[in-house]
Amino acid sequence: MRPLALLVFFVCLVAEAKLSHAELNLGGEVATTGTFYPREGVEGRDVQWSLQAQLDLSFRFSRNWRASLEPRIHYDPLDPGRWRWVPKEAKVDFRRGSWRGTLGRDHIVWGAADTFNPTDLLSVRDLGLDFVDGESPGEWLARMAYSRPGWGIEFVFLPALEGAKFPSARSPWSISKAFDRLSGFNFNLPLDDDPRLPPETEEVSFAVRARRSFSGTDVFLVGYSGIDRNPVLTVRFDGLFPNQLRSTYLPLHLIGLETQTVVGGFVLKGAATFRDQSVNDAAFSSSVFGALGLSRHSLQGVVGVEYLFEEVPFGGSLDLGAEFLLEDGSSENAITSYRPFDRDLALYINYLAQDLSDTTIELAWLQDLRRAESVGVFRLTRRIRGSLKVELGGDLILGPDSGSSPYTLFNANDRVLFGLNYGF
Amino acid sequence: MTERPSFNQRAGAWCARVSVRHRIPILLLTGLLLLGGLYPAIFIEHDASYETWFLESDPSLVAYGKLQEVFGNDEFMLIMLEVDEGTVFTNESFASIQRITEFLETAHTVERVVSLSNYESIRSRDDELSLRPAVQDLPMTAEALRETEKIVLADPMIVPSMVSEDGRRTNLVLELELIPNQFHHRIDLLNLIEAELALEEERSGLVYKVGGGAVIDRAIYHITRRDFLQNIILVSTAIFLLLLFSVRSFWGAILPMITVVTAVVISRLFIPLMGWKDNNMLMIVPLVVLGIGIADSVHVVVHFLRMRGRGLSAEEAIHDAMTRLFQPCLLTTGTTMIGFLALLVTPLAPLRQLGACTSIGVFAAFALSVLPLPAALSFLSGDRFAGKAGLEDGFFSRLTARIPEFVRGHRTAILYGALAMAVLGVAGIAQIKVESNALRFFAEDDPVRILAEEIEEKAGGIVSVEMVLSSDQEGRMYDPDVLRGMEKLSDYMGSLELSTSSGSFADYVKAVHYAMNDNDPAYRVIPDNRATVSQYMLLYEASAPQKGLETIVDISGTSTRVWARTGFSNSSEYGEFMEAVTAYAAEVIPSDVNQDLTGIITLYKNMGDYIVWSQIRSFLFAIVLITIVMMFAFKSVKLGLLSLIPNLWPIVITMGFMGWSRIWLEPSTAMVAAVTIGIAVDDSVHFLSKYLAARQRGESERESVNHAFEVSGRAIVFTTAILLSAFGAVGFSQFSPYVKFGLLCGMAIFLALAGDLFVLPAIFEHPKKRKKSMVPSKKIASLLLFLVASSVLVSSAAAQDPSADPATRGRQVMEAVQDANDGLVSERADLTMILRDKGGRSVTREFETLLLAEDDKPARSLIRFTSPPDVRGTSFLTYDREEIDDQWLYLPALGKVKRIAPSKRGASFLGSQLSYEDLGRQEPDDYDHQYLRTETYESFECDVVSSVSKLESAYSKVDSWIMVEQNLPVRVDYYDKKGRLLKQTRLSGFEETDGYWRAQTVLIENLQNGKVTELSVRKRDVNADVDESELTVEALSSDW
Repeated sequence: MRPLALLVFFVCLVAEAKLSHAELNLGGEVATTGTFYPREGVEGRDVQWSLQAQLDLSFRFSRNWRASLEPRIHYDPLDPGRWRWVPKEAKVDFRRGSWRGTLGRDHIVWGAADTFNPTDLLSVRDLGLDFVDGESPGEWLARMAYSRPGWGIEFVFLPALEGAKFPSARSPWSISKAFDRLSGFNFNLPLDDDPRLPPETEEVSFAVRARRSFSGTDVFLVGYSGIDRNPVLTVRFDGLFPNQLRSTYLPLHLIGLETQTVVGGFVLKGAATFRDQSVNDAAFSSSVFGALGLSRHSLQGVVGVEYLFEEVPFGGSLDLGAEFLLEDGSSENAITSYRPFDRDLALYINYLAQDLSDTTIELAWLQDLRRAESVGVFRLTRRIRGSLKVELGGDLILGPDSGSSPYTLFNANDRVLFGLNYGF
Repeated sequence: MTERPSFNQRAGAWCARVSVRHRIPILLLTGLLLLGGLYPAIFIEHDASYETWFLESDPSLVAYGKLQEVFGNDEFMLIMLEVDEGTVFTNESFASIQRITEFLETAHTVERVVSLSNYESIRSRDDELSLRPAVQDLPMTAEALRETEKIVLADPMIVPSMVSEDGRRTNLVLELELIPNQFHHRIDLLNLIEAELALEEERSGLVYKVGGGAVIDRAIYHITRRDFLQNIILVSTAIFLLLLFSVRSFWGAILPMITVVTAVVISRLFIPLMGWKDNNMLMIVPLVVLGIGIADSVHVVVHFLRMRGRGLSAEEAIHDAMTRLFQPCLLTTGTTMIGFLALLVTPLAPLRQLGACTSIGVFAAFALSVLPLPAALSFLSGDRFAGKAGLEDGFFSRLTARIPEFVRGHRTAILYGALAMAVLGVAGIAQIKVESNALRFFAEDDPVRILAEEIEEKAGGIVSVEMVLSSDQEGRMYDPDVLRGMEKLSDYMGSLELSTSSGSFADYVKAVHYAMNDNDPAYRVIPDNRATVSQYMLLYEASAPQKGLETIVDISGTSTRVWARTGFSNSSEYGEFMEAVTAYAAEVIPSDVNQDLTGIITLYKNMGDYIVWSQIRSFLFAIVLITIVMMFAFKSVKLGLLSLIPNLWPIVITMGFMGWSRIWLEPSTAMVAAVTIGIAVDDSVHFLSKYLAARQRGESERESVNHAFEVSGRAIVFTTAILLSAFGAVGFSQFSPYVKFGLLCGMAIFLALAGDLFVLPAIFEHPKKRKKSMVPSKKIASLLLFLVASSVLVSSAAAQDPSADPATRGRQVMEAVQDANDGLVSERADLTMILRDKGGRSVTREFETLLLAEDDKPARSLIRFTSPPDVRGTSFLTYDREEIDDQWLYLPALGKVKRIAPSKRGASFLGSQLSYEDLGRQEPDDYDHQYLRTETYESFECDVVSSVSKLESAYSKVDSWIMVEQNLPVRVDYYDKKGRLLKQTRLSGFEETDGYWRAQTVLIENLQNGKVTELSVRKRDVNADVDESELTVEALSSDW
């Protein structure tokens, strides 16, 4: 796909270039983050420093054509590769009338909820960067959209599956360590993150999303057919003993509905999807569904409400929100169930100061309603000078010591963050 | 553009419009929900077992689970047989016991039955061990009966635990299987046993009594279900009668009832949705939702009827009710929900579930009150409501009307009285005792309690306490030093007051040693070496395989248990018992042997610790959140804190009352504080919102307090009366935890009413509490397209009449400015905005804008930031609508498009000194204009016009300097609500582009805080080629 994207890039450049419209934008950021894990029992290092640099290059070579490149390099001492290359964007965009298209590497986010979007299917997360705040490294894709003010439709074709990146074995978020904790043994299994698919399954995926907007309300209908880009982990055995963890990708056929609406000062949002992950191959099916207790059919949903206070006593604005997450039919025990929080309540508060510091404070709390398990997140960012910003934060993960939920597996990973970010 | 209504009006108007326009589908859906949900809401699987009170990972539960895993289930039931005359050593008794034993041995979930009919005494013959049944083939001879009696009564292993010393009583012990979901199996088993015993009593004339945890569980289950139904009927009837009495309209009473019943159904449906089972705490939820949830619908119905009485049509009355009540109802719903959601932070699952379900129910009551209820009310369009005054002149009105004067006359006494009560409350809180006792859930004369106490007294307790001893060394439990430690520990546990019996592996060892030495009493001791014990155990296993020791010692001799039975007692006594046993075990058990105390007793004891923390955590959580909400609701930190006084006050007194009256802090009373703070604060919200509204209109504190009483006093009293009836009905329960919960909540709510009606006004009218700054400004939201920031500065030549009066001339000047955008189709611009603070520091932001106009007015616009880097790509898309604008926000960091609610008019535009009101289209009709003078400003001849908004505004007036020739504003002065000059806007660099005049630079200086915003246009293209697809949601997310 990469050579194809480059070819299209140059063809478009030659065919459409009009120097009068040519415009080059260059930007980027350099960021460093120090993470301190105060709890005992976290292996690796107490303090973890990481560094990342990103370049944002955009060249608009005619009114209707644009090329963008966003390479990012990431340095993490806990990652065996140390320096890692993350090609976030490498794409050509074009538009003609109401049509818009994208070819290349891009990341597409669907859904409006802040905690969990059941229709956000098109981008795998780079868990190797940060298990909690992991972001999408982008996917190779082709997108075509037709949009009018009242409605729009978007088609996305994803020809390949790269697979998710996982935290390294030395990371406190290591999946191998989580597995050891779950099993009660010290297997220290290697992780094979090369995507494993059911036999005779193609890597190709298609997605479509149609929008209808009314006064105050958007309704989206979403369809997806292809590979679920969030893997499940399976264990390979050598005789009686496990010898490897493997990331396995299941087929996914999904229909879903999203909506956002404004009632008074409130923004209400919700999404629901029906997922079918049936696999024709009986042996493969039993090795995954049987072993992990996954369900072939499941429902996922989220409903949320948000309200913005613009005149708070201390100045600035304050955004309050709550979301309820529901997933029916998923496994509670699969060790990769970092994403599907089932019947959880998320509460968040975002404060934005109205001064030159651009200070933001973010407080979020995710509470599992069935068990006394929760995650608390605190972030404070403040501009120090020019485009230099400082970030302070902390995560609190509360879960019982015995159990198999993410809260339990990573409950020793409470952490304090300190970061500097410079943009240009 | 007309004045954008307030949030309350917008949300309420939306509800009114939708509920009337779509009333049929809304009512059909609600009806379907109610009817379809009734069955699943009523018949929910129940689980009243003690495990529901603990976390799966609770250390004491885990330890208890391990005990059961290793040694089997320690749960049992007792069947007691007592004869009035003689002893149980008769053929009739033995035959009866044998029949029951044989029957029970075949019963499902029964692991083993131990009774006199299968009791075997240990004997030895020729160095071989044998077990001899006590009961031989029946009928036995008189001599055989006497021999059996003698053997049994001499065996310390079963006397007195299984047979009383006088031989008049014996027990059948049912050891139960460890099975999942055991609550219902235990109840089924109990019913089966009782049926069989009834038959046996008819057959033999002997009377049996059954005891055990299942008896208590079943009794609690039945009593709570009975209370549940009784209370529902009582509360519903009480509320309905109160409503009828107050609103004097059948429909006015029945519609709120249907609304709140539907909310109850929704709250109940949440239980299976979450995968939970019904429990004793969840059975309170319907009552609480009935009491709390009715308030919203009552407010709506009463307001509707009042408006209909004043001649408004049904639709108008609904609109009026919704626009006025939406916000206070939402706020009170929110604070109540916070109180209940605070229970989510407790580790006790039933309390968490109660918090979640009640919150859902309360919210459902609100949602149903603002949509289906108005939809139903819209059918009440006849004339029969005309002239009905509802609560206008009722009893409650007369009652509350007298209060303000009373408070003024006794202000000091009220404040000192309240303070004294609070001090007493604090002192009482120090007396609160954390205790729990399952038997005290029942009244003293309750047959269940009487029977349980009788069985405890005669047959021994049913609460287990187990000391598990373990070692890594194989066979360690056979060592004499360990066995002697066990013996001492068992004796000690049995000697404690709470204990009714005790035992250990050492008893078996001694029994075998005794038997192997020709029943010589000198050998009823622990042998001197491990080898002997090991051999004895081999002999025992070989002789009595059916009565193996696997439930007492593991096969490798690495672990064993020492047990005792206690009766139901207070959790603190359990704590003392555990401490004593742990300390003694450390003394007598060798130090290399691990000692873990477990059993049901540890679970009961730990429950006390949970309760204390639950209370503290949930209450603090509720207080903090409610305080924050109140601060935001009233836009004042001080007012938010002040409003807590009348709400904390009743909690302190109620908790103090608990301490003084020796009411324990137990599961039911633990949630009183968190629950009532959320409910109590509702009245304060109603009172304060009315008070503030009056203050904002400029009324004095005295007038404002009078107004608050007049408008909300009767509603506060009325809703409190409903709440009292609901919680009071809970007080009529037979189940003691419900009674305490209901009465204490009722007390707190009543005190909260007193706090709101007496203490709060006394505080407000206190001379030291006068603070005008506490009155917030209420600005109405308005969204404005950013581009208008520059396009508002336009002009066209318009005719002015110099001879006109100042008002007419002022209006003519401003209309000339307004007409300047005629013919505008689209516009693109790149702008730079520099924000400077008083210290001279600055931040620069750059953005591009895109605008499409319809009918000469901006219809759609897009703002996209291009600098600084951290906000690059952030975009706002706005569609101007008649009622509420559509707005979307794109955040590149998240990659998602979100709808956002339109901003308030007074809010700052992107952190600048511009407000959305400044940027909004300002229709000349919305202001009263006054031409002041003509003067020269910055070398331009200008007309100076002063404008006062007819609508809600952040400004008391705005003075504009309009260039006479170009009709362009060149300077605008804004005055705050107190009439002081707030900020000044100066415009310069005027250029004509495609026939439209635009200012290239705008400088806004805030003269009160010294901050400056400078806005300059880098590039502008008027009537540019803009495709409407560039202003769509898809274009927003594709970022170009």
